[in-house]
Amino acid sequence: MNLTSTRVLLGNEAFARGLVENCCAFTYAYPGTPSSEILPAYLAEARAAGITVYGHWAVNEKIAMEAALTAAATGMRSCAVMKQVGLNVAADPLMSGAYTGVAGGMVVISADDPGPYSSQTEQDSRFFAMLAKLPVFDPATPDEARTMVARAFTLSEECHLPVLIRPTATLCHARQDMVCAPVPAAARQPKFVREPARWAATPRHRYRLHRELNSTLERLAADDTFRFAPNDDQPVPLAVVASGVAWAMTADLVERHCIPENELLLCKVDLPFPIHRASIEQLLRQAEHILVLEETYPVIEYQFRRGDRVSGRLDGTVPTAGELTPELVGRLVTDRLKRSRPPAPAPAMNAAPRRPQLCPGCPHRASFYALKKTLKQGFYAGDIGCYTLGLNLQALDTCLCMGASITQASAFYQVHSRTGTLIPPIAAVIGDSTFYHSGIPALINARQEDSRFVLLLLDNLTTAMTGNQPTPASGCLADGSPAPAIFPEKIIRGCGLPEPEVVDPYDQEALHRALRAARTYALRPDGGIGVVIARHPCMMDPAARRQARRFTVSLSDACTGCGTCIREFECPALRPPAAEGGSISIDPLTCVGCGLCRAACPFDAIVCTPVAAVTREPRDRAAGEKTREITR
Amino acid sequence: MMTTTRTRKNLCTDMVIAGVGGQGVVFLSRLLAEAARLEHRHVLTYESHGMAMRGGSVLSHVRLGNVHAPIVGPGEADIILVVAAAEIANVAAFAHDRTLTCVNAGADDTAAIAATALPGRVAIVDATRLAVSLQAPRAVNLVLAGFAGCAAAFPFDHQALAAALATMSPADKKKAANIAALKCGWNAGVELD
Repeated sequence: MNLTSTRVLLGNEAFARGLVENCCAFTYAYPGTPSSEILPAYLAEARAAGITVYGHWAVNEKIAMEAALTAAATGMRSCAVMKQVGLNVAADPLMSGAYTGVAGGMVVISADDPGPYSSQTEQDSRFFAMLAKLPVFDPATPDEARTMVARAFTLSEECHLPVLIRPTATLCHARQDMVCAPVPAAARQPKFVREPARWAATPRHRYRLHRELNSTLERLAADDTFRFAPNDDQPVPLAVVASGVAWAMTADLVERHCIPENELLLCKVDLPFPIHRASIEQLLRQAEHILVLEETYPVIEYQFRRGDRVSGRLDGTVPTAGELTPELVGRLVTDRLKRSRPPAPAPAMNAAPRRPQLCPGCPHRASFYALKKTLKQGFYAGDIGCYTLGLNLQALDTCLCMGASITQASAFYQVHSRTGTLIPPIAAVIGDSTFYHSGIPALINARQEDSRFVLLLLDNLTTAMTGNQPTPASGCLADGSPAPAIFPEKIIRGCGLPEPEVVDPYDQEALHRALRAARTYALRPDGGIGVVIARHPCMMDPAARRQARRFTVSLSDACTGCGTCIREFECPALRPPAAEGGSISIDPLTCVGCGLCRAACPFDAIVCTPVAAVTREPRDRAAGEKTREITR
Repeated sequence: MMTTTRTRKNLCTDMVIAGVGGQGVVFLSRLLAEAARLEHRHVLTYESHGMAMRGGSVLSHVRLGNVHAPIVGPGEADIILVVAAAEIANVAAFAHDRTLTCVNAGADDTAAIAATALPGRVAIVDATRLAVSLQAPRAVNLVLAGFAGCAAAFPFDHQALAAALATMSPADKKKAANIAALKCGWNAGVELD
């Protein structure tokens, strides 16, 4: 093992490394857990290797996919990175791109979230690949994430198709030692070869392209590179066919319990679609029974087309929802082997996990508080981001998908207005990054329908949920280089709405006033959508934290311990009374001193004393001490 | 085609580290991974799920040797490090009869530890107090690691951990303090074996 080329990399960093090792010159992504670390790592790896690449946070996944397909059409190697629900947004170019194909290699990394832990669905991107009729790899370890990028580019250029790689969250966030390959110097130049019958194919040509695609898939299904069953006919009572992390867990189990190969044949599938046909046929001859372990949907299992001899998710042997764990894999395999079970594990861990909460000092909490107080008993259409946690504050009624809040508010208005029923106060709540992602067409549509509601744009000047990636308003690109800044107020004005009021949610009175004015505007006969932009930087931004005004927060004797502040405001720094009849307390380690909770106490018991503006930078302090020394 | 070697689990060490956000649990797992890399050993680590929260539970899995999946199964941890004693209930399911569990705990925490009734051996050190006495209150994680390092079952001694610290952050301004924290933990653990 060579220590200099051996590195311990995160699964997502391993993907990035793979992209750089394989001359991928253009990578487009939209942030989303668990895929968000790939693009920054790609830029960092390229910088460290001294090569020039372009990595861009696209406004949404559809744009990322279209850009990557175009780069690949010019013969360059490209990649599109997203999470599984992002692939839904990118479905249109992906489906079409499967027919038109690529000239240079193109890889799509779509990260799944079995569980789910931070997504709306548990959907399986491998099924999407099947729907689009595109090959998909399923890596099992971080090192394999890196090497499968190389295999995917080779395959993509061999069959002129975009190739998917589908990791799961466990793989994205695992670290492993690996021996990295050298980074070659980029040598390609873009060269777009005009071929209207392909790049601008009409339906007639699409039929031909579809047939071409089918024959490519047939060829791949017969390609012995992807054989996953050993090439012999040794009969075996049980074959376990697995892919991805499910394979890794099964392999560990087999090794730990020394299960011999004549008892259990473990087969690892690298390319779940199109599946290697000969391996399937051989296993059906060779194995008495086949158990398929895969996440999250039965992609491999479906392709066996044999319910009688194959068990998995389709027959309910494997639970049809949720992620696989070492414990579950152990139970499934030992049940099938009819071996004695491994010693029963101790009771489930983490009995009461804490529910996620907005951070202390989060400007969204202040915005939700004002929304609840001004649009009482309203319908609050929510969206995707940190502010989905407005649910905890009873300030969200819906959360469907990216950008849906505006359309849901609009449709809710139309449903009540056109049926002549009483229209409650309606609000759409959307974050800045989500607004750019898919809120803008929704706003145009709502304006055209003349819907009436309050649009509260929570603008924290960043893509906070996924790790503070820049937005179009940030004035910079993914690598930090300057770019034109595009602000939402201009877009809103462009839809024929008046200049929206921009308020700092830390100024509760001003926000209450602005929301009431927006509501009045929405009700006026000549009114429209009343827009309020609540703008305050995310508290995870260290610069914003340093600049913020700070208070020392404490409870006075007036506190009755009623818990209204915790229920209505839910700041993690507010701690319930230790004993019945006690007082609420403030956790000094968690409290950031924003002082916003004061408004949430019905007894005015929360006391906020301003902290004198001291520069808290250690460097400044050191400089100050030096000055004193000199004066002395 | 990747095949597995069906050998008895040898030279593999499974570890779990529990604590709360801000205590350096993830840093500790990265440090152990770096120490493994320096000794040419294979390593897989993983931080268990949950949205990032300040003060929320953090659970790290560190697996050394020829393993494939990054997750330690129930009853399969050889070493457990508990940086915050209150988190001990979250790791009970990982322990087996020969597990060594090292807990950072003060006098107030003994009841919680006793209530968990972990199988295997439990060693307690007041790493918080030791770190504070070194005027390095953030180095609790390193004191605990140095302490565990004394046990024969633990794969890295304080010198191996110090070497990993040096390669992880060569320009570390707190280098001396961090190495002192490892050593202080080590000194507290001399009677472990």
